[in-house]
Amino acid sequence: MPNHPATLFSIATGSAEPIYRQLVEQVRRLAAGGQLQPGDDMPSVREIAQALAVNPMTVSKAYGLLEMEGVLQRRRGMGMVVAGQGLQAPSADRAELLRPTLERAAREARQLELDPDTVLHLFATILKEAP
Amino acid sequence: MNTVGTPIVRLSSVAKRFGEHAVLDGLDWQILPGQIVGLLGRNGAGKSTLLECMLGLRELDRGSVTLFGEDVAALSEAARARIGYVPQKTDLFDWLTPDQLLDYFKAMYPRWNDAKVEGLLGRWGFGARLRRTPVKRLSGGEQQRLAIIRALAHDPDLLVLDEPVSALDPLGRRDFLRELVDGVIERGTTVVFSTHILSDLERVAFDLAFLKEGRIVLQGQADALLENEKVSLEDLFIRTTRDAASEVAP
Amino acid sequence: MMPLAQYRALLRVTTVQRDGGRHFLYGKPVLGVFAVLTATFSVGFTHDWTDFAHVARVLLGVAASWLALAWTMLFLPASMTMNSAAHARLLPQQRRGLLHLAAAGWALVTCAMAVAAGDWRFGLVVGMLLQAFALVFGARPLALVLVVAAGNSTWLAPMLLPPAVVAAFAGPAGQAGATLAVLALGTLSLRWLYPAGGDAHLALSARQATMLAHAGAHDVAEGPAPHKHAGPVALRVYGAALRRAGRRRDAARLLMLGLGPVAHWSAWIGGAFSIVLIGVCARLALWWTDAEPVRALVNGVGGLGMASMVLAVAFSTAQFGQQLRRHAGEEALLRLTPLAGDVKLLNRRLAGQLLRAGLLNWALLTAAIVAATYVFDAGDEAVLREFALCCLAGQVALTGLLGDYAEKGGWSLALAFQAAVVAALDGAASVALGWWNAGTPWPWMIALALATGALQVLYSRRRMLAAPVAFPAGRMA
Repeated sequence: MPNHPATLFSIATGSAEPIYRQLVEQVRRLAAGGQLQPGDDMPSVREIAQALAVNPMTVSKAYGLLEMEGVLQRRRGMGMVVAGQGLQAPSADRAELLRPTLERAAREARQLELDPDTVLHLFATILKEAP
Repeated sequence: MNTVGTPIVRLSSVAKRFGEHAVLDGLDWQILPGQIVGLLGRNGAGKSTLLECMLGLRELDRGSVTLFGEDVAALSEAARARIGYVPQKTDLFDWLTPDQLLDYFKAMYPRWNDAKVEGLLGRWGFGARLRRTPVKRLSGGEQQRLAIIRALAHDPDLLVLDEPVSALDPLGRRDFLRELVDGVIERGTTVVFSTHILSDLERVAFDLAFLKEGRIVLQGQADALLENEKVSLEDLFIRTTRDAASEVAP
Repeated sequence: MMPLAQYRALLRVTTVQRDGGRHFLYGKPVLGVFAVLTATFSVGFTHDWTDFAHVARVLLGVAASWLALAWTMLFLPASMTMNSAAHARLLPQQRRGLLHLAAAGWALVTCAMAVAAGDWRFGLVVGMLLQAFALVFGARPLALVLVVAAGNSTWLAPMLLPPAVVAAFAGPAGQAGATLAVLALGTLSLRWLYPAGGDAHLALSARQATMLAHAGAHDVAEGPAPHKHAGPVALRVYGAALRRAGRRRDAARLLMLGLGPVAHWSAWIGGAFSIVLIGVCARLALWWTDAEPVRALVNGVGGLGMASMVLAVAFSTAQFGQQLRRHAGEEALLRLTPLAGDVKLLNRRLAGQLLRAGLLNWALLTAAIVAATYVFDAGDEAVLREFALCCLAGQVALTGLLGDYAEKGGWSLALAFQAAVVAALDGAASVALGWWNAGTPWPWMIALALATGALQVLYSRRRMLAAPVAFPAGRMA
């Protein structure tokens, strides 16, 4: 079971999104995208708190929420592991995770008064570019 | 002994005025054990005065303050041993070297974590040579780091920090936050700190309290406050502490 | 030359607007003193009221004295601070204006004094003294050498210069030329006080700030008032005392040692040693040569020296209050320590320690002064006299030792005045008693000083114990 380092995560201060929510979103994205495989060991609360210099209670809160959602599972004596679902989530669910980012992009596109076709063409080009 | 739920710090109707100016006016505030509270307020709002009154360093005009259940004007030895404080103005005894300063205060406390002190001195840039240099020849940042080490050295249960990182560069602040997370919060210490560096507060403070016009006008869990208002901490600060008279079109 | 308005503005900023426009030189007491002086001298020296020239000269002398004080105490410190390294580079016309004003003020005072005394040499002496003050406070002590040489030129010149040159300056034209040369030198040397920017200027500004703060020009000296530092020997003794107190966990000692090495008795070791050394040197000088002028000089220096040492005893408690008010943050922390933070005991402990330190300092200095006088072999009466004066000075010193340090506590102008009055009364009473008993006043002085001192200590200690907790000092001021 690959052990992921706490440096997998990053947070940004000064945004309207609380830190715990940023962590939750990050874990969700990584799990849905496959970087976090079921059964992988998650770094401990303390490790993440140390690495990011955030309050451990915040990390606990994020982990608690993820556990409730079923993304993570608590193993007795082993900390948190990624919940086993065996399969990748269906693409429709995964696509929903992209919604917040796309909504932000759409807002900006509207501010720039671009028509949808131009925007979609640009997005397609970007997607084809190297990762 | 504190049972969970009894406030470790309780201020009731505290009033303090300097001449004609009422700095604290009927202020009520409670801090529960294990809370990490960030105290926010504009310059000159009285954060330092509030913290000094909280520790019994200034006489109150009205009201009462209790720490660990004891009246703050006459703290017992046991209570004093559980408090750590970093004042805003680091006027350390500048004729002493860091080693001498730490030895001096070590004699004052029954419990002193030598291992922690050595570790912090090593990690925070105090080599053998610097430890033998009189404080007056240290930079502002080094003096502040020394003051923080001194406050942490006796493993306090209540840590009060008044702008503790104002003179530190970002790396110094990150080291300090790490130490708070690792050595202080993990142990269940109650932390009250006032700072203008909002990014630090966002990372570490779980609760916030805003001081305005002599009272705590807003307090609660940081996450809840931010989510309710849907703004960043900076905007929440400006919104809460802005004078009604100085309203500018956003 | 700058427009007159700029000179006026500079003058206003450096003098009238100091201390919020309420500097004591402009106050009624000082002007009153000068008025009284003028009247006294006028009446005293002129029985014939038609001798207007004489009265006018006296008035001019008094005015020139006031101007000299204003120049030294108001204008110089402010102007040196205004001419910071940044200002010197960015506002060169300000520097020039300040230079001109400084030179003009100096020249004015010198000439006025010369006219008032009717003797140009007197004016020059005053001028040289002012130069000395200015250069010392401007942190340019090396330039003093030149000034001293110029001042002593009358007897130095024949020794150093060839006779032909000396003869050329002998006649009245030569004298006038020499005077003008000295005047020019004086105005030029003031340039050293106002450098024109650069690294050297920054270093000089730091030294000037130290000197000005020592001189009491706190409102213009940039940065916090620097404090005296103890010498290396004193620091070692202090360090040993600190370690011992830490080992023994002596709360009272630790509280007192927190005031720093300056407040420890070891800070006076150097001073005491110097005093005894002066006595020994004087004795050796007399053994070497029994010549009359040497004896006179040694007696004079001895008398003056001992008198100023006695004054040092009177001032020996001044720094306690200063040190207490300097470290309010650390005192707050000491309030929160388990060992030393007991509010019920803190004032008592501090009072006891302050008293101990004050008495130790007094004992050390008095022993040194008495020993020096004894070694100097001025006679038993002189030893008794010095001891009596030390007791009187000690009584003065103890007046401002204890007090309500949570407020302003310690020494203040009012308290100093009161101490001086009480000391004067004691002195007068001891003289009267001595005369009445057909003996010397010294035993009476000792007894009176001890009694008054003890009473003052008892009274001030009671006040201190009843006052709020002393730490952090000055919080209620």
